[in-house]
Amino acid sequence: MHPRALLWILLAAAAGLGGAYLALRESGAEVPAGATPPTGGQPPAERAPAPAFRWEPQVEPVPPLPIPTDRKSEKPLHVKSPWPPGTRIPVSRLPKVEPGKGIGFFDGTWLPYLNGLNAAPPATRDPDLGRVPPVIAKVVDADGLEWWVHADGSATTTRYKQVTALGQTYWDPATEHSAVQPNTNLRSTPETPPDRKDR
Amino acid sequence: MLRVSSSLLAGLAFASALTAQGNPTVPELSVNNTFRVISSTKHPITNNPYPAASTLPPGYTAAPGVAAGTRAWSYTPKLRAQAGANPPNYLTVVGMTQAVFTGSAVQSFPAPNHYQFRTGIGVTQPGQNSYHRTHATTGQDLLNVADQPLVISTWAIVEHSFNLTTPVPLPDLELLLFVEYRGGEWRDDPNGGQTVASDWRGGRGPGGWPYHGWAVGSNPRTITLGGDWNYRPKIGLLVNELVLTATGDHANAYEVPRLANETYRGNTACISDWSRASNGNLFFDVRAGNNWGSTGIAVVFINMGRSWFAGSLPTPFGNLLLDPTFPALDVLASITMPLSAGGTFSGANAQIPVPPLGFAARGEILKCQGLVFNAGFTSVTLTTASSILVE
Repeated sequence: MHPRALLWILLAAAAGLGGAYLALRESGAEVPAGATPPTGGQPPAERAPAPAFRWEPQVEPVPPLPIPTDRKSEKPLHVKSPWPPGTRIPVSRLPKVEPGKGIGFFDGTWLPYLNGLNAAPPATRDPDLGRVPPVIAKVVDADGLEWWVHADGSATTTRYKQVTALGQTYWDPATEHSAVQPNTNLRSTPETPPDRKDR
Repeated sequence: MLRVSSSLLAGLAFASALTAQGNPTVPELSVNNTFRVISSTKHPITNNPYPAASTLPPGYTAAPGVAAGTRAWSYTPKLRAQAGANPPNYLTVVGMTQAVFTGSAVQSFPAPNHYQFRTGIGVTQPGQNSYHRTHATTGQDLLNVADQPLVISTWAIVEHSFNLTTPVPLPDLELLLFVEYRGGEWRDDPNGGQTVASDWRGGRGPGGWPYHGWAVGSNPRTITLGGDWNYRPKIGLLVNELVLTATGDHANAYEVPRLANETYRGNTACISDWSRASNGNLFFDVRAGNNWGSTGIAVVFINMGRSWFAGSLPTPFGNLLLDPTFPALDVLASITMPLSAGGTFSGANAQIPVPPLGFAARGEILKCQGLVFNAGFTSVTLTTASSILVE
């Protein structure tokens, strides 16, 4: 088969299968673990499968899309710790968390939600850093909100964040993770940057 | 044509069993080169791999420190932006990342004044060449997430990420990300010492201009460019779209040696001197997410041209900007990229050699886009686009 024909077959297959995939995803057939369904509002228009594989001229940028209304709020709904800021409580054992019912990490680690939240997105941590270290303590930050502290000094929490997007200001449930980078990110001997030879 | 596809079917046959896992992973779009690159120059006092002294904002070197509202910003020229202008969606932001440095000046942990920087996407104004733009002096941010306290327990760089519940679909926009100081920080502050961590060698843009700098907190903001084009504050976006990054050693601000732990997660390291290089290699990094599990596969399409293809495909999955009728369209299907956990592929470990293109290639834009799928050619989805200017 001529490579050009093969390419067109590939593109057409991509369009069809991709559309079917997205249609299934919209129907709820593939819901990522920990995801929370929208409670109202219009679904993003870009989710609609293309009716056919065709060309279309590029157009000018369009106005911002409406933001889907998930769980955002006019005020923060997290609950502060009964302990004062700076408190550190050692943790020897965490309650077991079923997958999808806590803070999810890429490696299958699930931690309990914090600060009164009962749903939050998955956490982001560079897989190159290895598995998520175990939790060794709970610490209260300067705002009175609690964090899980891991054995390597990394920290994780769930709380509401104030977001201003596309002209709207609201509070949104969020998962936060501070991953400590390995010491190899620092080098002891300063170097002079090698410049390009043509400059 | 860079490389002729020898066997697309061979690439597809390479796909093995689908093992999509339930563990979540969100694709990441870093506008600096990478968070893992080793920064070799450190501030003499804080030991932070921080922008060169000439780029420090006014007031930083003396008490009371940084003025409130001062921003460090980083711009990614649209030439090399992921995705494109295929309406109605451009990127769907679900979070951001930033790197926070805490130096040895800090005496006790957790320090009460450590915080996640206010961060977001600012508006831009024209810069000094056709690709160059800077933080604008006025205008409302497209995205702005307020600062909040952090718990930092050790002297280190922490890569802080937050994931939002409500996705923010953005239209066509300039990728200018910023972090904002609360004010009062001082590099010798024994109670804090916090600052934004930067990449040295974080990737330079077309023309060798610095694509980062500072903006003061007052309105209108005074904008200054960074004094060294190699530096980038570490800021990134978490997006729903699958991310493909095309880069290479020659796309960085240095060539050899490659640094330990170096990865290529960003899209600013995209200027190439292949027109002169004799050993050009192309890397493709893929961040697809866990739907493509540990045995997903990615292949790459490539165009070369003097500009972006004027049209785009109305696909449900993204922003295909390649022109299938362009003579130089190539499918690197014979070079499949098996994805690992989280649907990732690190191209630095599997470079694709690119023949020397010669001086005729100068000014050409190498345009790339990936196709990701699972076993049986299922879950077929396009990645965002990525491009490189050959200089």
